[in-house]
Amino acid sequence: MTIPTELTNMCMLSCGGKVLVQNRVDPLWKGITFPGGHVEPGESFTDAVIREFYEETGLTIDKPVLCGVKQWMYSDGSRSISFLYQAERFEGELRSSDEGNVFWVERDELPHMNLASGMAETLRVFLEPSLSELAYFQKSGFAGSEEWHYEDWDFQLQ
Amino acid sequence: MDRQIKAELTNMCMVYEGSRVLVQKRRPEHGWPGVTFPGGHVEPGESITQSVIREVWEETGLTVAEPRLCGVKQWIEDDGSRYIVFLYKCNQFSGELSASEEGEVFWAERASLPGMNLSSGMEETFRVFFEDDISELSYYREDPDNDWQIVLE
Repeated sequence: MTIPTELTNMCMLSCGGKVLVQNRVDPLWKGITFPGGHVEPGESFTDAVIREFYEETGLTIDKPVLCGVKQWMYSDGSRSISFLYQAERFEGELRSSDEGNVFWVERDELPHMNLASGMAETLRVFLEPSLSELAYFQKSGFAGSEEWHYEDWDFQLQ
Repeated sequence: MDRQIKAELTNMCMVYEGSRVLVQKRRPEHGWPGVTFPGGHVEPGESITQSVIREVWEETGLTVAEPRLCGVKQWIEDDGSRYIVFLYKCNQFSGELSASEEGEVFWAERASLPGMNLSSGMEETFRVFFEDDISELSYYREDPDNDWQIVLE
């Protein structure tokens, strides 16, 4: 049984006590997040996260390790799945893309920043070793809407 | 949603205790014969974690707690679709061991695994479970006439 699925990724690059963040400018999903994007046809998930990270930061990460998965489960049975990676080794010169500025911040500062919607709970999968999944379900009574609203979803951390 | 592909979502879990791991010896009539770890399909509406807890229970009688994602295995098909296996590890469990009709289940020393009659692909799948810096096993081929290529990353 196959289902329609959208595949994406996100990576937290750490260096000492700092992590690299992106301040996204897209009004549909604005604020502080980690770099990432879509898996392209034929790509492995690891190749996809290395490519996306490079496109958005100018840095080439080495040996990203899968630390969890985040997914949106739509009422029609389709899913949007994001593979969450951590990396500690990289090379290259930092540069931003038109998706948003990228910069280093102290990891402890993250919760106090202007996070993109959903990043507060997504951070927990990155930071708590006992968690490896964040799953969003459409709220009961959700009538369906043309536009995507974060408020229409409940989540579960496992 | 213009970036959707077709995917089949499955899971596999290595339940372990010290140096022993729980294996399933699959019966040939259920396809993919040989020694493997328990697992199966993600059902509609289930989170992936829920699906792995259910499958381990159905196939072994054990209820696992806090399974952790340790990697992913996938076949990237020629038509762009993917068959994805979410790989989990777990050392917290309760219940009594009992086999399902898919095959007997038993504890085995991890070191004895390579000498067993493994299901196809399990040899490279073990590397994702056992090597901390490997978190993906992907299979792809240039066209249907070629053999599958294996990439461990």
